Amino acid sequence: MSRAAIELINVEKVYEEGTPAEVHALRGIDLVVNKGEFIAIMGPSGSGKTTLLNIIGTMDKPTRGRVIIDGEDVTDYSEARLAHIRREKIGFVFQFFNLISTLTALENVTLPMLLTGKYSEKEAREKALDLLTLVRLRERANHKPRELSGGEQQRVAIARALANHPTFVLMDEPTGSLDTVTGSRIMSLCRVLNEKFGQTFIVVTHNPGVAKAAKKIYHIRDGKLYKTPPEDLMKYTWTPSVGEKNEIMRVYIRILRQELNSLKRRLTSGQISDAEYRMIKQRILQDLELIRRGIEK
Amino acid sequence: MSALSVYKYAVKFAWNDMTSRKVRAGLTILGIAVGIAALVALMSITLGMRTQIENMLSETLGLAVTLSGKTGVEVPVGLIPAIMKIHGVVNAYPVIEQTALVGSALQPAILEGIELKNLKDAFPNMELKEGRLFYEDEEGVLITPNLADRLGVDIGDTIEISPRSTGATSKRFRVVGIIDIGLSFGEMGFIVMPLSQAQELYNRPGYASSIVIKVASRDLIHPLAEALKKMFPEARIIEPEQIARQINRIMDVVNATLLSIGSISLIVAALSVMNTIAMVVRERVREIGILKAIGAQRLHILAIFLSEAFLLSFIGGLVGIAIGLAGAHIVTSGLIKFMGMQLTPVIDPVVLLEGLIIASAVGVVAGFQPAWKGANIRPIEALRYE
Ligand SMILES: Nc1ncnc2c1ncn2[C@@H]1O[C@H](COP(=O)(O)OP(=O)(O)OP(=O)(O)O)[C@@H](O)[C@H]1O
Ligand SMILES: [Mg+2]
Repeated sequence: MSRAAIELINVEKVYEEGTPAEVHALRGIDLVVNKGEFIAIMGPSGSGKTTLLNIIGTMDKPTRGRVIIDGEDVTDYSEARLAHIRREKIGFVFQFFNLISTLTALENVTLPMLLTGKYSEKEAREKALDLLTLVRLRERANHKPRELSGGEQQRVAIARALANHPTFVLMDEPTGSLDTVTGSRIMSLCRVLNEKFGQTFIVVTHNPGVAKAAKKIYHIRDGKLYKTPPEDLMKYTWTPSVGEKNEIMRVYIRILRQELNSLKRRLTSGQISDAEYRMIKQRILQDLELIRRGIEK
Repeated sequence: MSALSVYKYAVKFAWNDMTSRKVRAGLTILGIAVGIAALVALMSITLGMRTQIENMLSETLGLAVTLSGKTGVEVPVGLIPAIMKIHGVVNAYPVIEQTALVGSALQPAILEGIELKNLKDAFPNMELKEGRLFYEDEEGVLITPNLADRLGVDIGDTIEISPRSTGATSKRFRVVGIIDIGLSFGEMGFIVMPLSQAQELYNRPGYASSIVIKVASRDLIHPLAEALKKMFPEARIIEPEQIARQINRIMDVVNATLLSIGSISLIVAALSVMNTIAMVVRERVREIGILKAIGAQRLHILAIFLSEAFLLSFIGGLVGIAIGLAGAHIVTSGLIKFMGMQLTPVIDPVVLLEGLIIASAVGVVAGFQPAWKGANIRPIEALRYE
């Protein structure tokens, strides 16, 4: 298997094709995102960022071209199979309107975990509380979205996107309604997760400061992708503070321990095989080890 | 286990949606409730009627077969010794039962001619209110209070009775007692007189309109009726079961008619559930998009909207049952008040359960189409929906 996590081959997106209102939102995008990359996509309004992210996230299908995720060509997959991929591998933060309004913040974060069928409700809730702690919303856990500010809603959405520990996290203007401090804290979180667990992040943003968190920046203009970033952005090296880093790690140690518990339960209740159990356990232990080393530093 | 908790969330979602739109939810619930209320009320009332009719039959006929002629007073009393010899017969006595016209205003009333010794058997619930019973050969009669009121007579007064029969003339009788006849259908008014007097009035000495034949047990009724039919092919033989069966058949038709009226209101209710769910789906389109983005399957989304349809109609069913029962009581008490009918609705738990099941089924079936539509919206279209 190649290291390519996501591969877009000559992807075009034409809205309202064949009508006078035809819009060429994407014009032949070729993109390879490797596992563990952290990329930012920048571009002016209407340049096709959301369209691109939706296609990467299997929410939308390209008019032409192929979409390959984790080595699988998903371009012609059925809705049911795509739902499965989204549930298992992808975490989404949308530009606007992210939450289920009839459920509380906690329930919103819990839901994706329940959908996988891997967690008991209690396990999922505990993990959700930890994630809400990471985005500093633990005290708001039982609030409904309409009782939260725009930025708080955005942070709940980020916690939800991380819920299933997805291989890919796709964020569309995640810091759009956040102040600089909160925004940078969220980006620190993403950076740490990316560095420690190798989760792949693709972040769409207008904000050059946010883009600095990424290791690679793509620029999109009028539906075409450009790789040539300005020199000054490349020079910037971004580091979260040690305190921030350690706090995130501590919470993640708890999350991973819980992950182990869920795994054990699934083994004893016969939901997974012995081999699967050992494989996943190995991975979690590796992650734990990585974190421990990180904290010692 | 966790699959279940997903559906728990679906119900939570639905419930929160309902409570955030109380007026709409309330109206939809009411729509279902009205249909179910109609069904439950109608069923309870007709069940009440059926029970009432069965009571009436057992009051009057009990363990008896009646043998009567085609019309009028034409059964010879002399048949009785032969009838008494039939297997299982414990008693047989003649009665004259005719409609007669009473007083100068010619009020209709039911005339009963019967020997004093058989009075208790023919009218087991009869009660003497005032005066005394008649003597065997006296020109005295017992009348019911409603008839006394209508005629404006009291004990000691005389009334003129026209037999409504050719070859017979009217005659005056003295009222010796006021009785409560103890029958559910006593509204028309009863006159009870000695058999011999009735025979004289109808100018048919030695004859009766029917012979009441009593047997020892219920299973003897039918063989007796068969035997009588063979012995007296000319006569009409009436078994209580037979009447009950006939009345039941009529009640079934009535029931079916009422049920179809009830179902029409349920169709209306179904449309209102359908409309509500369609509105909910439209309001929640963007959330459908989010659900799909986090990997919800079609079934999960279907579950959310069907939960709401189910909750609405289930609650509607409960409310409908309550309204229906209250309505049945109001209607029957109205019937008692204005039409003098005695009727208590019968509450059958099976009917109530059926009402609840019908309500829920109607809701879920009606909600299915819009819910299915919602579940099939493409994720990106859902997210972009304004
Ligand atoms: N459903 C649609 N139908 C028609 N045109 C569309 C549709 N969605 C987007 N477009 C058009 O496609 C182009 C790209 O849109 P997109 O939403 O990807 O832009 P964006 O880069 O995310 O912009 P912004 O920064 O403002 O969010 C725009 O010109 C937009 O008007
Ligand atoms: Mg956009």
